[in-house]
Amino acid sequence: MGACCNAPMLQINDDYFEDLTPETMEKLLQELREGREVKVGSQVGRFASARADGPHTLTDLPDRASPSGILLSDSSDDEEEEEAPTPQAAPSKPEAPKPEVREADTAAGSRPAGLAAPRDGKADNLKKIKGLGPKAEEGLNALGVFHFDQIAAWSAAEVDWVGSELGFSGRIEREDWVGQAKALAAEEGKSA
Amino acid sequence: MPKLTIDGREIEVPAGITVLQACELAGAEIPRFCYHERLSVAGNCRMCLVEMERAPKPIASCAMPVGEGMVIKTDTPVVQKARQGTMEFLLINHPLDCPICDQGGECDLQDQAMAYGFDRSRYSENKRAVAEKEMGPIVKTVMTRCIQCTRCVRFATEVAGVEDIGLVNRGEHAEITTLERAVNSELSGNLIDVCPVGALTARPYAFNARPWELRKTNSVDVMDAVGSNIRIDARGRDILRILPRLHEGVNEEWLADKSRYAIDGLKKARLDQPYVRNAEGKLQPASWSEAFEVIAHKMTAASGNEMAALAGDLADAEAMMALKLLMQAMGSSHLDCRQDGAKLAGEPGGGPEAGFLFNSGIAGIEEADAVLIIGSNPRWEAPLVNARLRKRSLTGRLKVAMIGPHPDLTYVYEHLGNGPAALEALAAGKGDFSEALGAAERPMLILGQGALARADGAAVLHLARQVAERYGMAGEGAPEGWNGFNVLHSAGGRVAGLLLGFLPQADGKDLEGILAGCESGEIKLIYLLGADEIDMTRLGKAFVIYQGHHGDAGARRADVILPGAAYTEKNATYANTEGRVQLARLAVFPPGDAREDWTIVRALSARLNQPLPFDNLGGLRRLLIESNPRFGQVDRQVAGAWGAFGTAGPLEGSPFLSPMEDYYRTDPISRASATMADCSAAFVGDQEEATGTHG
Amino acid sequence: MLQDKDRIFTNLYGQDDWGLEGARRRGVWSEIPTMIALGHEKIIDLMKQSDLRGRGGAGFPTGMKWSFMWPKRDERPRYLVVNADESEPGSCKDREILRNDPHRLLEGIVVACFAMGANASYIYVRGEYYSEASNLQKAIDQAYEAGLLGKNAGGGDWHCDIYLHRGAGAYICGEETALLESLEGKKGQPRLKPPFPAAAGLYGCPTTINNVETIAVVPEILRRGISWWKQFGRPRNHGTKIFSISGHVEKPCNVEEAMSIPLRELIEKHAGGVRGGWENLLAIIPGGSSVPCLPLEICGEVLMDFDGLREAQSGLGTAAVIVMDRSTDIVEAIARLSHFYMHESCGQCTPCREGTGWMYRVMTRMVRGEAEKREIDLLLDVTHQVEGHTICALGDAAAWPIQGLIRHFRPELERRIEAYRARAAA
Repeated sequence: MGACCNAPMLQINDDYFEDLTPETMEKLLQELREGREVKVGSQVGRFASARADGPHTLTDLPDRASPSGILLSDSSDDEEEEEAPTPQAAPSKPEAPKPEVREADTAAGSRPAGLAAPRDGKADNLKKIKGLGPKAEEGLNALGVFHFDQIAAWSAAEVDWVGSELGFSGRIEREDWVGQAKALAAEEGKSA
Repeated sequence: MPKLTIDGREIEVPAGITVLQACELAGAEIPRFCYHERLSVAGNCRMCLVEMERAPKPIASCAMPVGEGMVIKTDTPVVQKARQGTMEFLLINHPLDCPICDQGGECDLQDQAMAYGFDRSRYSENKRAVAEKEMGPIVKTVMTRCIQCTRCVRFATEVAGVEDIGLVNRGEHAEITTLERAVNSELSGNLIDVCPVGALTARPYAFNARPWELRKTNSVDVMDAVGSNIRIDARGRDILRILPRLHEGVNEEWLADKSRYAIDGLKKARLDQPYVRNAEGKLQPASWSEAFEVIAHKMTAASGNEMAALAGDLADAEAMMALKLLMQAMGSSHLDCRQDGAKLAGEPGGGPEAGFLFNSGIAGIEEADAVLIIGSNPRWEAPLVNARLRKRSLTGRLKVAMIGPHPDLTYVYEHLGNGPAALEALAAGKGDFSEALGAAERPMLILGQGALARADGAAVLHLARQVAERYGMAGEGAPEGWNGFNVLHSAGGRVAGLLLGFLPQADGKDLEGILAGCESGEIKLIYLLGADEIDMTRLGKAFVIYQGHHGDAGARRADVILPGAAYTEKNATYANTEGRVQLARLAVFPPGDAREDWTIVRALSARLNQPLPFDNLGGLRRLLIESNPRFGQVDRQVAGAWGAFGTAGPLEGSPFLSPMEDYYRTDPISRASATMADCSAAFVGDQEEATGTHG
Repeated sequence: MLQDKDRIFTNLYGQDDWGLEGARRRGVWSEIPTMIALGHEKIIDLMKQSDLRGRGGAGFPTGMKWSFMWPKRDERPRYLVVNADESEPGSCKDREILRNDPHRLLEGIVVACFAMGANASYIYVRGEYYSEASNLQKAIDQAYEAGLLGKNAGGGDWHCDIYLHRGAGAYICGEETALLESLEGKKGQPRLKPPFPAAAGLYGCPTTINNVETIAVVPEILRRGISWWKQFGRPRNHGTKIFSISGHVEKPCNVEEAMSIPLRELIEKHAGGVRGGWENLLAIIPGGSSVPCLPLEICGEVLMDFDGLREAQSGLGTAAVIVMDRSTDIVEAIARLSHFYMHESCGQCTPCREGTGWMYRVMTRMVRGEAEKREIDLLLDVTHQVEGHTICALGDAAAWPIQGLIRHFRPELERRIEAYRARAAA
């Protein structure tokens, strides 16, 4: 029925009843028998087929009309060779119509100091920070951030700037990258 | 001309054909069940799989158009395995009832199983059973045997034009079904032929014989004037079935139901010995010499012009020629073969042949782009001509209009009116269809007997000629080599009669004159050569000699009966509506004392001391050719010479009616047939209601 | 893990307004004129560059498919047909797009129609999707009202009409040519190919049939650029994709993820892991019911993309991940799928019509163990006799699950047969 993530389910006339249990099923039938109003959709109150304990993704959507700047102009024929350093729209695309909110975002915070290259030519594995994936690592590297201690030293304003620059506002705070980085930096220091 | 490689051999084939056809051209036989040359491609049986280079999986050769540089392999292990797999699937739910199946011995599935089947079944589950379906008095169904190839569905919808058969349900439950009533088509018998297995078999032939027991005779059909090529299958003295033979110019590979299954009528009500009416007015069996004696007595007593002869619808050319010669020898000029009174060939000597032939040829329909049908219901009068019209119509390149009856022809047509007025309007260039005819490159008209067998028939014929000339169908304005003036006959013997001039001789009377003469007593003796469709009450006190094969209307009125042979029982010549001369061959001997018709006339001439100038069939045929060279050109179709025919005159207001009241009961044979009676009961009642043909 | 900012279907869970206002807020319908200004060839070229592969199961490169439609070869009308007849067991991704983000589909249709020179598009929605079809129709109405459809669709210089058609509940109508038959009002039976729909499709005119998800991601790829799109997934498998994770996982859900994500990571990160821990896993069907299942050993390694799963002798299909833990009767599960395919076979061509029933019957006996061991090979042989010999892919789809079962779980089949024998002897 196209509701596999919400199994067990059933369709009565036009309506789907999802996430049923034997108990809710009996209750549903009883209510129908008595001609009462029944709860359509997920019986456990899920959003569509998000996780039952609440959506675990799409919690951190940038609040703007367009997800990013338009990249139409750079998708030229030789696009494939180009290595896009950041997944973000580079602010240097003036022809890309940029929504106002986005501007405000960009203006928020201040840019942390970056390095031209990792110290000793060896970057830390930033992915050790929970919530920081390979894509984010790549983005941080492009901003000149290679080491845990750099992240550990971010101010609140710098967190804001990085968050909005890389397009995951709020996540750095929520996942406490700074705190994690402090602990990891300390560990690095120990093992070094 | 794409070039492809088939089994390692390069071959150049015409563009647009399928891989299957290309393989055939290359000499590689491809097994198939669903594929049929004359039907659309279904590609569902999966038996014709072949390997094609660069294709990841085997392809269905019947559905794949040829392309330049294709490399096809038809005999690799992959192909073999695929076909064996398909065969196994076809067989798992096919009953193992070949010993009691009528298709046995001529079954595609049986044959292919010999090539691709396993010697035992690996299927240990229960087999499927399917309920029988009602397909009418001709088609018997054993649907459990069906392999869902859908040939029957495609035949019915595409060729026959009746959407009565379909595939319903899904998957294993898919089955061919009808609308719980007989398939309402005059071509339903062809379903039996297209069915590759024993699901659709012939009801009249059920459990009668095995194909290898049958003696096969190639012949032609006379149940209508199409002249379908047939094969007569007989065992001993019984004709068990009739199958179509391929003839692209005439019947393709189809056959109409009456031609196929009126044959049980050949065994009923047969005249198997001479009869003479005795003093009490009762017909009594007699010997040939007794019968001749009575005739000789009457004939010598009458003067030449007190005698007349009428030839019937099934009469062969030899008998008519012999009778014509005999009547001439006896001094009679009252001859007619138009027992429906059609005003054709009214000019002295018959007039231009173009005036009574289907000049474009039946295959010519496939070149036409506009056709006007006048006073005919081709669906009944010539089902296979109608099938051609439908075939052409489905291409979208043929506009059809009708004046006269308004039946369901299975394709779309414009109905211009009921009677001569509509034709007059067209002759004057009025109406939308007049523009269509004018714009057409190869326009044609089909003039039925319903427009001619009436008092103003000659005037209608004249008007039709004017229409033909006006719109460039025939004559000077017509495209080179095109003659679209077509007369559609419905009697198998008629055209030969017209060609050899079985017509009133100088100062002779035509049908109407003869009948009036009989009533008035002016004509004292009339010789009916199988003529049963005239009003016998008008024969008055005339002495009636009936020569024919069935105890029908003519025999009941006769004073002397001479038992003749039916078309399956003699070597005889017929000409179809195109004027195409074809030979029928003796498949079984006539019953009892009955004889081939020309021998009867020849023997009678000797008894009358007027021996005819031939002693054998060869001699008679030479006379035929002398009378009209067409009789020497067997199986050739040429348009008749154009000229003036028809007579201008006043037109009546009455509508044109189709001469056929009931397709299944038109002649002594079909009237004697129980199968045709069943068909008539099944179809004709609602046919009339549904279409209002005769209302 | 894919970051939220890189997710295309930002209203997958329907927390936001699905209507036009909400859609605009999420960036839908923006910049369509800019895209149309690119021209037909350019869009198709960009699609080719993006390596977007069809999301409906077969994974045919979308750009190439579109290139069959343009440039035009004649003046016949051309059509885009959107296949929203999502019926594959396990798959429930298109439904979310239809009900929660219908405008994303509509804008995609406008762009795709323009690229292929089509002025009309039909969306064939599965009959059971009542409220989905209702949302979609409302969205279409909203779009017409806002002047986004019809003349100057999306604000660009192109005429595009969209019609919604509801199916009547046949799985086979999700097959693209059967879908066309059904759309034309005939019985839903696959057509023979060739001619392919791009040559003679709907009403004999050039037609492209695309999955809902394929069409819906197109504008976003253009908006964000090829390089953005191509950072996800391995070459030839780029992009993001909605995965539907169902069955024996802690938290079944739909989630949009990057292609080529390891299967194990997908399940553990998004679905809360296998019920009872990873080791409790028995098998996973990674791409909807028609692909072969994978056992534990392979599941730990395999990457979720077209090529990765093909190497593992399975397929990405619709990326509907069906997880089965050790409590599952795997034979019965596959037998149930066999029943489904038997039931849904259209009955047109021989191998599928006859083979699906045969396979199902042998499978039901296998569930009980009521068979001979040699029948396992017979069954496998039958699946090979069906596979690749049918008109459409339903025959393959019926054969593959059984092949997967025999490939990975033959000992289980043999054990059952022995157990049944022992019971019978006792």
